[in-house]
Amino acid sequence: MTNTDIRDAPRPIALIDGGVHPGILRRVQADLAGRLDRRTSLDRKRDPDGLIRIGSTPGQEASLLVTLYADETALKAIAAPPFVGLLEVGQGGQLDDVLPPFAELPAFFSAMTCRTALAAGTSTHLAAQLGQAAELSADTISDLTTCLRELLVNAVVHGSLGLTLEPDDQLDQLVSYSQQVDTLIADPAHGDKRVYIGAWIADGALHVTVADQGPGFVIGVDPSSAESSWSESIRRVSGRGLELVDALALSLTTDPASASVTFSLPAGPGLDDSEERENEALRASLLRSVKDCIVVVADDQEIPLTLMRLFLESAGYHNVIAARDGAEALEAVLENNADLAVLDVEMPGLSGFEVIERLRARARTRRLPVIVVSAHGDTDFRNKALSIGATDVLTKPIVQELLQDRVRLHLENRLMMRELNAFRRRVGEELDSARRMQQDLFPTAQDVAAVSASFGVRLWTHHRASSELGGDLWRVDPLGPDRFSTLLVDFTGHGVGSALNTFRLHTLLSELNMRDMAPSAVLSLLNARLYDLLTRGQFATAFYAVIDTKRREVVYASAGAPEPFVGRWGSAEIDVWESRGLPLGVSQKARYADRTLALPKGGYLFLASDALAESPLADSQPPLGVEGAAALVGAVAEQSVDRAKNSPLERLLGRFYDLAEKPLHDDLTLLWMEL
Amino acid sequence: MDYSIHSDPETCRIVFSGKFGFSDSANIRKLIGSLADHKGKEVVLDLTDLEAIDSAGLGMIILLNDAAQEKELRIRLTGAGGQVRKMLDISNFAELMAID
Repeated sequence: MTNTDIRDAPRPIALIDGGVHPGILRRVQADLAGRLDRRTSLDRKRDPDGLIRIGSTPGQEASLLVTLYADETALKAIAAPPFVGLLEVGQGGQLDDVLPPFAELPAFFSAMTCRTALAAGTSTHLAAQLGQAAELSADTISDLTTCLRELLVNAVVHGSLGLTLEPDDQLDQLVSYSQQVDTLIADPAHGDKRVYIGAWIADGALHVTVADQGPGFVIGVDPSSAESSWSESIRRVSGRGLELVDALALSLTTDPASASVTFSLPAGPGLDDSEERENEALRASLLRSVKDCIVVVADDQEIPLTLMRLFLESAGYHNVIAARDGAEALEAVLENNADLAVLDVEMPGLSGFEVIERLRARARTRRLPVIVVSAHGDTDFRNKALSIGATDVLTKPIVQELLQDRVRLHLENRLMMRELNAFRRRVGEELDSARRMQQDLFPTAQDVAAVSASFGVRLWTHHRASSELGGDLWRVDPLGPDRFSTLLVDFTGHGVGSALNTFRLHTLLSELNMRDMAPSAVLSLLNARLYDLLTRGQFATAFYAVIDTKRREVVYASAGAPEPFVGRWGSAEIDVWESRGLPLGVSQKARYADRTLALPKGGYLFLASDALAESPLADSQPPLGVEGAAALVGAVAEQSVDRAKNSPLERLLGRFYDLAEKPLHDDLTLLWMEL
Repeated sequence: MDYSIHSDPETCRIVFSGKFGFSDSANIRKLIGSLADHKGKEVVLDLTDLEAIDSAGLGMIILLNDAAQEKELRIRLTGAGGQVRKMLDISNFAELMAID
């Protein structure tokens, strides 16, 4: 890709990645809003110097704010593909009025003559346009938006500006960050960079490339060769954005040298067509490979043996092995690792039945298709053959078509099973890597220890996903010298769908600045966003609390989450606090209430996902319910044990897993806190 | 979960029993389809014999409610007790639909 189309490169003022600390986000927002206010009044007006400036309005405090600047050359270039313009992005900008060529994009993309296209615009807007052109489903457009947003921000912040701020450790860098951005932008080596977006449709998928003019990223390993270090090196380079894209996209390839990332998403309105195509392709490949299979035929009589071999060879099978008795047949099957055997029953030495019994006794040939051939055609014989382990029975004299049909059928089944098993293994591996990625969303033991240390609290936490992927998400975040927050979210169901929702929510959360918001306001905000994101019938329960350690006070809001428990160590008594509220994503009109509870000295707060009270117990006993859960927590709290050495949560889990039906059907998240 | 439908010109009464959860989504799609034939104004979901419901079940009630609203039918839940009542309560479903 070249960058010769635009001479006077447009200059972004300040760009920040969604992953930075909320404090930094706020600071830069304030800074930027101030500057933009003075210069352009923020309402997308043409500036005298020929630039169009679009910025988020100061009111949009919660949104990621990155500005977009395009010059007139860029706008003109858009009309003549392949075009190069510039790019980046806040959220939800409405660019129709300033960028009319967007209207031409669908035709442009549907013609698909373009190799490289680059549009100026928000990821939302661009995704909508691309989505229309490629006939993406609504869900895919939503995924595309997320992918574009992540990659564009990565490209600009990490690629062009070369900023490597991490979310964790930067509170003290608040001031320097802003200065750093200014310096970098003023530096032609960083500020005059562009980001390219190319998109094309091929093989039923929309492929999108995002490339920047930065020095390229430093992925130390070949992604295809080393999975574990792959995710690690990605994180080092570009944070979680790339992992998120990896989770959402059909494929993801990176080219560190050219600083480009390419991903693809399924094009076309639904899965039916592509499933159909996939099945057809599978069948075609099966038919090809069926003929390569090794088939052993056995009969002690020369004529039927030769006939069977010829029948099969004339149908295209070129690996047919003939055996003249049972022992030879058994040896031929085992030595050649045969895919199917056709056995006469009456043979000297080992009979056909005895061969089957020996084959079934070995793990490797337990499921080998075996067709039995016999002069007997009655039902009793058939049943006996099948009960011994024959897959199918044919009657002599052998009919050519019948033999060919049955052999093909059983071989196809066998290959299909093999494909299925391979597929299942691959899916298993993918789920496993997705689960690891999901684990990365949760606070680490170090995160929890850091909060415990800096706020002088004791925090015991537990999370376990029920199947390989879960629908629970929890976090704990410092808010100020005496305040921190915790959030527990539980999406309907579990498995891939819910896990994707937790990724979506994680992205949302990283874009929000919740520091000074009341818990009820946080839930309202999440509710509004999730209402748009979630499919109907899906929702999440949530519990958000701000813990003030100085006042020993917890202000919380709940969206249908289980009740918080408050108790004192040494006592079995529990106060079960109110937690009524509409789950997130159910109704746009949902309102949430702030409730305040005081934590007594020597007291604790206990939070749990609904798996504690709702999981079925062993021996078909009904679930614990709120009362049962409270009794269990109370019983553990009552024991006088040194909590520093002997975690109450471990003791609780021990008791709970003794009672519960295993494995658990739902994700279990627990948080026990002592001020 | 099992259900039976008892319809008169005014009210369509759907009586649920058993446990209502994730595995019932096909059931519910069928049930939503059969709402199309109802000519009256009200749909009553009788939960008296429903033993338990989980969050997926609540989600399906939301889907039912949405489908009903589209057809300008009023949904009313009745007879919820025990765990079912608690789930409706904590999720504040009274804000979405009528609960006796």
